[in-house]
Amino acid sequence: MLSLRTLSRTRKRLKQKATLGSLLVVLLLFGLFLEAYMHNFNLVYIVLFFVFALAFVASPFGIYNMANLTLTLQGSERLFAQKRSAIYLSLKNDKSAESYALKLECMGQSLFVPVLKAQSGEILALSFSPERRGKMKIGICSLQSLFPLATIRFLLPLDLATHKVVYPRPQGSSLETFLSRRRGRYGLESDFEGISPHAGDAPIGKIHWPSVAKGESALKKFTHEIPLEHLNFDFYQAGKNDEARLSQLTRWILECEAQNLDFQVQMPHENLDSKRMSTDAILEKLALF
Amino acid sequence: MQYLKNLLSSKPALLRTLDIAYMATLLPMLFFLKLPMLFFLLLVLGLLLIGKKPTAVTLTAVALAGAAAIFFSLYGSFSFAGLSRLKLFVELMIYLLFIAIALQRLTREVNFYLKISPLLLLATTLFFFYSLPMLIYLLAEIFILIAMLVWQVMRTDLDRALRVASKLYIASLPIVILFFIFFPRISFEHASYGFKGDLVHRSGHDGLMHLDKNALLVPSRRIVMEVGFQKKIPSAEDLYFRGSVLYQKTDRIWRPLNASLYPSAPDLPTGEMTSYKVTLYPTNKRWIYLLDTPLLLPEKARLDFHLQSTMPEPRKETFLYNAGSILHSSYKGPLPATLEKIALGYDHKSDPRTQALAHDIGRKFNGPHQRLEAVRSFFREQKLAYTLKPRDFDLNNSTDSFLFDRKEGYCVHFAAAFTTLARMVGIPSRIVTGYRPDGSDSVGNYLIVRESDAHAWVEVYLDGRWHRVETTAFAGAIEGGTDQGSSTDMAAGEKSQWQQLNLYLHYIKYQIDTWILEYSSLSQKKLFSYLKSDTLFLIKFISSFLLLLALLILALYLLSRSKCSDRIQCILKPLLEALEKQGFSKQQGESLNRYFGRIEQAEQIPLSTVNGLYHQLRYQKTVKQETLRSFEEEVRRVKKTLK
Repeated sequence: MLSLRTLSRTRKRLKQKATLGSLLVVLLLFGLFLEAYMHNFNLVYIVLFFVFALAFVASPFGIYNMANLTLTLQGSERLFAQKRSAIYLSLKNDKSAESYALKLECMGQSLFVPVLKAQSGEILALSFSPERRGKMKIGICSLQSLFPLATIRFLLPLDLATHKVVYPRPQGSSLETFLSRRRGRYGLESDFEGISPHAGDAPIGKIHWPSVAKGESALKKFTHEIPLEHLNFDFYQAGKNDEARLSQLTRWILECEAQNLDFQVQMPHENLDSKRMSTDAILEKLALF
Repeated sequence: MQYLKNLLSSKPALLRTLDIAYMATLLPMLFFLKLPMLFFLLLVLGLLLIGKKPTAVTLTAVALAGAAAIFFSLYGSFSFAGLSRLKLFVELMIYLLFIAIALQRLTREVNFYLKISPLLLLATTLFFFYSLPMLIYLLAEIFILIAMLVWQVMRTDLDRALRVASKLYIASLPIVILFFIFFPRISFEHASYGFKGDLVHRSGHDGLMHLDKNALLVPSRRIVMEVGFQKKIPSAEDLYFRGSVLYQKTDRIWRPLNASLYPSAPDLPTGEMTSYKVTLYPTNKRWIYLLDTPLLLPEKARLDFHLQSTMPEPRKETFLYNAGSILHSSYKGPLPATLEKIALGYDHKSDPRTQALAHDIGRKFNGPHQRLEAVRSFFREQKLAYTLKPRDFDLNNSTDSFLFDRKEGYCVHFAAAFTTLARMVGIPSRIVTGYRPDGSDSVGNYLIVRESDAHAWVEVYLDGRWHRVETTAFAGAIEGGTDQGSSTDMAAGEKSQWQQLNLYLHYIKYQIDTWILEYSSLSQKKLFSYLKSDTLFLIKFISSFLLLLALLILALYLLSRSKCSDRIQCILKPLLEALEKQGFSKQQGESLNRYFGRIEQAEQIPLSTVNGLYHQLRYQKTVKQETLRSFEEEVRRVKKTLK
């Protein structure tokens, strides 16, 4: 049941905005009053009073609907600029009644939650695409509700006060191409590079069929099987401008991580080593460059 | 049932909710829509059921069909002058709205006016209906509209939306009631502003008395008026609601005198006044009916020399008035010579046998009292029969025919014959028409007066007073049906249960009409004065409101309880709550089996049976009623031990 204390506490946290429904209620009240006034129809008076009373009692219902709701950031996927990713928010309802028709608005995105059961929570995945790399504030999200009659919009601002780092957009050539290009300094780049003669006991899956077609017997050599000296990415050689370089580096770093390769990134003023730093820390450095 | 279940668990579609709202608001309109417009609505419904998106041609055809429907619906009743008639004007507006709604609805695109049109339809319906059924329907209609709106906002299952709508509805009721009682009523009279009200033609007492077959106009059970007495209902002998007073007989019709001939009312007697409130249904006549002898009249009403109460205009609307009377069967008043002449007048060319009889009485008895007694005796001796279906009279000698030949008739014939004979023997007399209920249609202080209670009686002038004579009391026998008014000595038989129930329903209707439909500034003032002056009434009033408030809060509480869908969980829930109260909280992620085991081990609470039965019920393929009962009992038993 409604408690006045809960109501007043929640009311203080809420903002309320008029809607088209509010205007409609005012027009309806005016029209019905004229009808009732001119003709003294008590039935019209009854409708008039109902409209007023419903609009009036809708407020406490709407306020209570927003009571004891908390929103916390649960985490996120890695966020990359201009790439669709998701952050996870936990919406909790700590009161003993259900909440209805909640609309979460965060970072230009919105999610509709028809029902949030009493004493329960729901994990909401908010999918969005950050505009640019760098620090992004997941600042004030808002929970909105038109419940119950859409005559008034209740808005509960929820300050998550959290920053997330958006990494540069992974873009550019692949790590494979980078490696090929690096070897290319000492010889010709070709599709046949990185293969070795077939010893006869290798599994069939490793046979390099284009070589067989040429009449040779050769084996595939996968990049991870190539004993590489430490991979060294140079910031200035990664692209034509800073953003392109950062995007390129990000792509290589992600591929290195996927293939479990150690690497170093030579930045203008520092050297980022994957042995000393986590991938996320390196990506963060790039993001905040 | 399955359909209902599906509907309750279904999510709302905007068009679906709008369709339900339209159905709810259209239903009362079906009772006044003209046939062409009904056909148009059927056509639109058919197109909607076909389900195809309409082309421009279809929409044009629908618009033309709508225009044709309006033309044929209003054909004959429509003119520019007719637009000043409120209902016709509103009807036209409704028809135009229908066409707009139909065209938009067929496109299946929801726009603003499609959304607000149910409200417009609701508001316009109220121009056409003003009755108890409409009040009941209106309350349901408001609920349906709220439910649909809530359903649309919540976008969840209908079941939840209905619960929320019920809560809103219940929570708004106290405000509606308070506003209804205390909101100042500052309106104009009904439909007297701006538009002319539609004429209501209903037959009521027409103020004349026919001796031919038109005499018994409407011996129906239709209610003419409802009367609420301030104290208990007077005895049947005093229930004479006075209408027109008839002096002259021309063309077989008894007629009243021109009221302006005797403009002022006589001095009325003083004494204990009986106060009552009357709801008079439209009669289209100026007479209003007050108990004999009228003393306190409603505003604007006029009491003339003959104690006829009239309003300046015919009553075309239900009229509520307060009145007061002194229940005397005679009153003192002057009889001017001109009026005495009229009150003694009769047609000397007709009724020769009655004239001979009168001559005989006049010869035998000198004083008016004796002559009157002789007339009474003659009526008794004639063994006149009371019947609503008398044989045809000789209308040129109606008194002779009634007294000597047919010897049967009803109140009209008794009163006419008595007046004629009394006049012939020299006693000024007149006929009074009105209503005479026998008091059987009553509950508490509430009385119903029906068409069939219409009555005529006689007043004779003796010793400077007008005395009432109940002429039907001379009837020696009753044949066939009776008009209620003549049943002075005809005790009402045992009422059947149905009649009793019907009477109670009328009583409830009367109270609702009085306090809701006809509640006005006057009623408001009256209520306020009661509240100010009568402490007991004030206490009762506040207590009733608080009781209502408590009931509504209880209803809100019941609706707010979370719905239990799993029966096994529902049975277990009280035990879990009791354990929680005792401080044994279930840890996060802890299974029920472990939880019960932990408590049993630590606190020696015997939970193993409950645990066993719970898991048996939970995991067995079909739930056995016997196991369920055992589980229920065990839960109850353990819960008791916790106390």
